[in-house]
Amino acid sequence: MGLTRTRKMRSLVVGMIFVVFLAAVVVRLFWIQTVDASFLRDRAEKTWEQNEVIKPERGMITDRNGKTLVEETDAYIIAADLSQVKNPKQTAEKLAPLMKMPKEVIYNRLTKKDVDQVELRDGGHFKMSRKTKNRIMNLDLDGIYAIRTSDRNYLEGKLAAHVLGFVNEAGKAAGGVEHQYDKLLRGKAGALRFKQDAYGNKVPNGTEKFHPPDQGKDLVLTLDSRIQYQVERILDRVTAQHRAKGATAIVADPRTGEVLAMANRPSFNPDQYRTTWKAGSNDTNTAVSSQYEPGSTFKIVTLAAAIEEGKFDPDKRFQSGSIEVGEKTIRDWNDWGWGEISYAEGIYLSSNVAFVRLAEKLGAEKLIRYIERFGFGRITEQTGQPTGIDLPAEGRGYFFGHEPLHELELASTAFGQGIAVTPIQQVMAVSAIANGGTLYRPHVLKEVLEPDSDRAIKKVKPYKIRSGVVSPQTARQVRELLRGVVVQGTGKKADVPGYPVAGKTGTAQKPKTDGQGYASGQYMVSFIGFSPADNPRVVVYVAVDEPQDSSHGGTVAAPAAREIIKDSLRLMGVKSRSSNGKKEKRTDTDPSAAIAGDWVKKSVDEVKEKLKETDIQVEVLGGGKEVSAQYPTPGAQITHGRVYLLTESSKSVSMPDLRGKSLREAMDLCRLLELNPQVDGEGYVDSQSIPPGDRIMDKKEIQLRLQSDPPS
Amino acid sequence: MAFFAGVFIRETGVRMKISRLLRQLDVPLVLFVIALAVISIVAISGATYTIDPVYLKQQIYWYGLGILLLAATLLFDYRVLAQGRFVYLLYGFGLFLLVLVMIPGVGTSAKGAQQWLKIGAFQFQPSEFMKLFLIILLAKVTSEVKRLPIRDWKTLGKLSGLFALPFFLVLIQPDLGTALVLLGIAASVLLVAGLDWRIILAGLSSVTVLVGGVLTLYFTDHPLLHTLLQDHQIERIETFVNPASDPSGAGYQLTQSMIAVGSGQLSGKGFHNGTQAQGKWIPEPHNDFIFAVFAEEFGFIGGSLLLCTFIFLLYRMVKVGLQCEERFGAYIVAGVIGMIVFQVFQNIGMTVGILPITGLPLPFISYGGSALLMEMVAIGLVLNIGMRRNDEFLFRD
Repeated sequence: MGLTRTRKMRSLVVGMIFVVFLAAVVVRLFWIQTVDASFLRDRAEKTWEQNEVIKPERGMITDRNGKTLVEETDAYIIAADLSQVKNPKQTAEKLAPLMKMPKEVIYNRLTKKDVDQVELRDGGHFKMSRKTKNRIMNLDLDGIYAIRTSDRNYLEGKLAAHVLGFVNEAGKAAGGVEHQYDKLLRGKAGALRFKQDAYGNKVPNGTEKFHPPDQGKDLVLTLDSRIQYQVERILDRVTAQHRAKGATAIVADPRTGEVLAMANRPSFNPDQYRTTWKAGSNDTNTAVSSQYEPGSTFKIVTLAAAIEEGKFDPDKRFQSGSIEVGEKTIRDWNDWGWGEISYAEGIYLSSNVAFVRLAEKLGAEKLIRYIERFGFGRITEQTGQPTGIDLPAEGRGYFFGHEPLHELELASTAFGQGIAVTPIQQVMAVSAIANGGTLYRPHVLKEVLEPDSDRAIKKVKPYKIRSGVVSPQTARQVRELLRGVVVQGTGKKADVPGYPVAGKTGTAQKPKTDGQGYASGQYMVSFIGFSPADNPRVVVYVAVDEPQDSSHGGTVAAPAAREIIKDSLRLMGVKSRSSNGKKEKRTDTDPSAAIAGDWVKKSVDEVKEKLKETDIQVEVLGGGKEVSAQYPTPGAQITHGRVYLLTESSKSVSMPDLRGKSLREAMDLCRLLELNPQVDGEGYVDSQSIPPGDRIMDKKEIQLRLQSDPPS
Repeated sequence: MAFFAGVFIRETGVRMKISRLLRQLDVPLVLFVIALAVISIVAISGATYTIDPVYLKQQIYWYGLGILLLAATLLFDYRVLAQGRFVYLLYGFGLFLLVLVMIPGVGTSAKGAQQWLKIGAFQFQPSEFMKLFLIILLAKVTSEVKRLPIRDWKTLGKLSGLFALPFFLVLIQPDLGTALVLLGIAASVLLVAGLDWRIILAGLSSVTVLVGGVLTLYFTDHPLLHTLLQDHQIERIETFVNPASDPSGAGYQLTQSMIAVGSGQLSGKGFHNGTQAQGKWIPEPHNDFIFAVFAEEFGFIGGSLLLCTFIFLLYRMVKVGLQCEERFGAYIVAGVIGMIVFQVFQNIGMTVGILPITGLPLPFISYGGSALLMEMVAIGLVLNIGMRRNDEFLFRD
């Protein structure tokens, strides 16, 4: 039957077609389940395997007494579920004032395409305090929610900014211990891997891996925030008073290398880094990063080397003023010196000539070796040796970079010119003198604590880089000589009643920015010292960058150091010795550092009128009405509450009374009178060869006898 | 009524007849259906045991009811359906329900389509029953055609009209999937019933040209596309061609389904161990995408086994169709084959990404009462036809 056959044939065809269809599906199934499988399996894992990072809390930072300097506090990021936000414009308007963000920024975020969730943040501040968050949540805006996170708080504001550094809101550490110990502070993120369903819920028993986070460790610093606070205060005052470009101070414990305080100007407030921090302008931790000519403070190294090598005889005399080195003449800082003086006096007066001579006696090899032993590195190399302090971006020092050194290079090195070192290098070198010959590695970290407990997992021990840099005897002799510098030399302003200070001032001309020679009138003035002189507990370094009114370390840096030393020792509980002995009695107790104006060509009466309000005495030399020369020089600090005004040629004035004056003051006065002083002894002027009141006439020299005790 | 009298007369030799009928029952076909029932229960359990165990219980219940219905379908001679205007009555009733569905308040919507009728606590999909009614009606109409192949305009017009009414009613629900199944049913019945090859070719080529044309327009991004199709329709093409373009809608479904199937690999992740299913990543896991659940948990072995079961089912049904000596029965079998296999192909095809997502349940496997009951009745009809393949009927054609 043809009809039935056709029908059956067709039935078969329909069946075949469908078999082919289903076979195609089988082939396809085979393809995606075996051939293409690994790719799809990986995708499957990605969809349900959720890896959650458990963020550790960053450690806090305290000072050595446990005072909290930096801590983490709860903070919130405001976010939006865009599918829920009903009226972006209105929402933005309501959020803007609370979030302190422009409403356009918020609006743009709320209307972002192709995303479901956005965090409401722009380039600026985006972490909200709990209070702000609560206020935002109280608005009850559709789709707006808060994500909990934490924020870094610098409780003391700009205190120790450069030592601490900061962590920005994105969590990146910049500068200071925040950067140095970032890994410790940060901790290690924990991980949670679990199965998650399409609604974001954890599948029961789906946890596959759980590593608790390694919480960030707490750091205890060597800083003493009380000392640090005083240092900050003093630097603020010094920079303002001298209209200085910047300033730096370090307070260290010479017996351990612990840094008790460290501050720089200009500075910033890590708590408000967005508005106060400026890379390349106030972010530099000058104390460890900047390299500059140390100037006279470096003479301590030369002196120690000479003593250790037996090349220093304090009583031996030499002609100060100038010395020929090679084809050049090296002059003392006052250009003509003080005549023939002893080496001890040369130290007190900071005579360049004295140190050039000492260096010559030492010879190149030994000078280089001692500089190296004091931790600066070899000056024949291009760069020096960093101290290894645990702060980022430490400078190494910048030297000659060739060998042998020219004799002029050696000579200038002897008094701290031609080389560049960091403040911290100097502090550690002087600490070695203070502690009897041990070079320590400085550090700011004292302990590492397990978070929320007092259990120390690490205590930083004093690390001796080198002991016996010089012998204890040498160190003591240097200390005594440096005490003399403060008592009767350039560093008088640093002395503290009750806390005998020893130290050295420094004045370095700053090199021009193009590196060609020195810039005129731009000085870096400094003082480095320690106290108590016979048993030092602190080493203090102060440098002031480009003070506008004075160019001498003794008048700018020394008074600042004096205050820092006084405050530090007092806060450390070191007993004052003010009651015992006249030895420590000072002739100058006037702290109201008055500055001499430029009175030349002005009338004597005018000057007297100006100074009437102060208790400064005006001593007029000669009978003229107009000032022809003055002491102190313009811009210098007025010492001993007395100014000298020369009104006639020095030949015709009568000799002032120098008795009881310090060597330094006597020398300055002689200079004013164009007299060449011949000094005998140490301490204060006891007698003078031209009696007071006599006309100077054509006399060119004057003998001054000194004795160590100041007149009562 | 002679019809009832005839039946009655035949039932006088009841005992002898029942044993013969049972002998001719296609037992393998029954076994394959039971196999599908087992697979369905396993798959629904895998898909829903983390969501709501009530689905599993309900499905077992539906299967129980379905088997009863299937058995009931065997009790009468299928040929009574071809008598008189009875099928037209069913067809008209189906159309009435399809219209009823569209009346707001009477019909309820699910998944964006107005396709459910609610009577008391009982909900059902009229479109499911319409499939069966259409099969029987088309079988009746085509079996009454005297001159073959079918190419006279009158018959073609009638057939087109009968097909077009439910097709468009379903299409505007909108339920493209079911509408396409109706098309599949019509195609396979007409193919077997002897539609002129030229018309078949013309139809095939016009479909090819239509699909090819749209795709060409799409890939060349022709402006004409936007005048021919609505935006959401273009998006559907987009989703099919590139599922990643719509990761939250249909693209998401396809992507998740592919991930589930693919990650099942050769032997699967094991019963109740399908991460994508348990994690609720697979959309409509107990319904449209149940195959993904099964293929994830039982891998290629399980998936291909299920497909083979369908192929065997198809084979047994084709066999019944071939053995059937009379047109009406053979055409019904053709329609049921078209309905079931087209739906299987369409459903699994979209699950594995070779066909666009249209939203169809997998016959016998997916959860759902209306569809399952209708399918069981359809199988019952096929078994009925197989049982009575060489039976004398009172009114032979």
